[in-house]
Amino acid sequence: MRKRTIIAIVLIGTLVAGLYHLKQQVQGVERRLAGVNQAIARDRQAIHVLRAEWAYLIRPSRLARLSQRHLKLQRITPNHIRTFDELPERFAPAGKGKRVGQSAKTGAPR
Amino acid sequence: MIIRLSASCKPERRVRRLAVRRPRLEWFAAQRLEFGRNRLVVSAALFAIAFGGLGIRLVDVALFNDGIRQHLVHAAGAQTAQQRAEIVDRNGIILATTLPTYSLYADAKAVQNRQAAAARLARALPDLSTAEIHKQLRTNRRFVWLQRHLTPRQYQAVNSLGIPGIYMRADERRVYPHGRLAAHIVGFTDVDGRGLAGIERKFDAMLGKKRNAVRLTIDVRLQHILREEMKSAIQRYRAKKGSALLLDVRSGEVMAMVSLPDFDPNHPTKAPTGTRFNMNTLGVYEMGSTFKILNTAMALDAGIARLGDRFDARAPIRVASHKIRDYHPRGRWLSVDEIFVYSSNIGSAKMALAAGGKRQKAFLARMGLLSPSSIELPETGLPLSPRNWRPINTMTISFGHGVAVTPIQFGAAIAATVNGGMLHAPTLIKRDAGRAPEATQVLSEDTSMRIRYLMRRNVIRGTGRRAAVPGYLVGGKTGSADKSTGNRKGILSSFIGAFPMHRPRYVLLVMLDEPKGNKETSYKATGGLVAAPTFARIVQRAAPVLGVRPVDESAHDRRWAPFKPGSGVHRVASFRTNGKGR
Repeated sequence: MRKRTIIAIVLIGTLVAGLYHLKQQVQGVERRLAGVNQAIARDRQAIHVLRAEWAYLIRPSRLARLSQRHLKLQRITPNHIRTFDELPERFAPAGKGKRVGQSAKTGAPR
Repeated sequence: MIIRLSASCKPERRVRRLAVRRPRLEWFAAQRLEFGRNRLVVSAALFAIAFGGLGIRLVDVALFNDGIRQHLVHAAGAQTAQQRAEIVDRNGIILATTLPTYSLYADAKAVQNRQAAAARLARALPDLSTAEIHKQLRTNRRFVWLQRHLTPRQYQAVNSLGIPGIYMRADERRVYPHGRLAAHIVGFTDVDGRGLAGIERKFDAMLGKKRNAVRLTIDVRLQHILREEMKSAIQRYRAKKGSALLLDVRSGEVMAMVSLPDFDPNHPTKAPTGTRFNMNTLGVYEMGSTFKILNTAMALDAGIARLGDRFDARAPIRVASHKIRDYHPRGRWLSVDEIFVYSSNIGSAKMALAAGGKRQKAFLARMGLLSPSSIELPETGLPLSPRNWRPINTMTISFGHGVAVTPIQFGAAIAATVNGGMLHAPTLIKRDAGRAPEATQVLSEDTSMRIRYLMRRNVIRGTGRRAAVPGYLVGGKTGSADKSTGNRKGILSSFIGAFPMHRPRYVLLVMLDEPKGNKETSYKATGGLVAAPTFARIVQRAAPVLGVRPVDESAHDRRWAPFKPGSGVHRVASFRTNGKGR
């Protein structure tokens, strides 16, 4: 009987210690979860604001101004647009033909 | 455990007691013991059930805890505040969004030195004067707004002042990153985020409730092209106002729509008067000669006339005090296609008379021009038409005077004349992919084909020559309407056209209000001289964005040949059977 009592006490003690530990851990995890949730909310808000800023930065009028200043691009005209059918046929791949074929491919206006 | 213990030790005790006590007492004690044991068994059973239940629940929670985990996962989502939904363009670019800000308020009773506080605040807030702030603080109320929506810098400045009784509150503010670009479409809200105009007002309740964005049909790139070209046209021709409208003829989607002058929806209260007016949907205009497209379509569709049929345009028509005359009089009988290409008022009036007022009224109603447009904007104009539809009305309406319509509904009607006769209600809200646009057949495919031919011909050799853009097969009609209001003489110059004409995809309407000619246009400002070139500029820039591929125009134009009516009415029959023009 004594033996049993001791076993029961030890068992209860272990369980209590285990439960306490578990609860501590859960509390820690919960605190972390709250922190992470807050961080997510903060990041979402930041993304939201950044998206608005992005929309502001890609205003067509601004892009047109920047492109004029930094790029040497012309306004597109119908002459700049060609279809694949209009490209000259590839040269036969004999001798130097390969190089010609490649340049024709890469040099084509897309 | 309790049960087993009692079972193992009780028999000995009972034997000993039985030996000592008297029989009556023994019996009594035995009864009692039995009683006690039963109680023990019952309570032990109850505990066992309770602990058993707890055990089961423990296993359930530990191993099969779906419900709880779900709850935890959602915790993150629930923390972001419910904000007014965004408005985006057809490509998802933000046109309107809500940003967190701070608003400044005061507990006037708690502010000690009000004069000094007001002066210090005024230094931090350039929009407010010391006197204004002091006035607010003198109200003695526990809550007065001082300024809504501080900028981050102002927030910092006010915060560092640290005046007791002055507080900040988290607030939010509607922001339009593209500013004026789509101001008339998107609209704006008041300081508390309630929609006051445009989409913001029309969908106010939905924007407040829904989480996902409202997607419009417009494209900011096209908005930019239209706006820039209209702006420079207004400047070049010193026009009062101007508007442009680009419609997808296959769905009725508004691809772009600008009305100038415009305003900045971020500061709607600072908008000068008149700038909030959306010409495209709110204004009603007598469109002038562009109406001849509809007049011709009506006559062709009803079988009143065929392309080769001629009408007497030798002399102006006099009705009561009115005189209908041509700007470029030919002084002879004109065929239907000549009436169109020379923009003859006399011929158009005769054609309308042949059809009759009743048919004309029914036709315009069928094209959706006699009732307000169903476009998703609160700013929608009511079209004007004569109460008594007399012959003189029939005649003037044939060339666009006497019926005033909004450009948006006019554009939709013209789209129906070129797309094979399907009338789509113009829309600003992007449909879910796969949902077919609703439409009604208002004209025959045959009539539509002939109208396409006439519009193309008008650009090749008629009044619309300046609208031509090599490669894009532009077709259209010019309009120069005399403005009847006021004693000043002004015209409304317009051009409406479609491209590419062999298989129309888009309709573009350009309008300039009271333009003045310059040296280039020999000081005239008709639709063909000011609106048509503007149309061409827009098409040239917009077509690549729209993905319209340039084609060999001459090859396509040759296909119209079967339509050419020649000299006699008898030739008309030859194209009746030919459907190759498409």
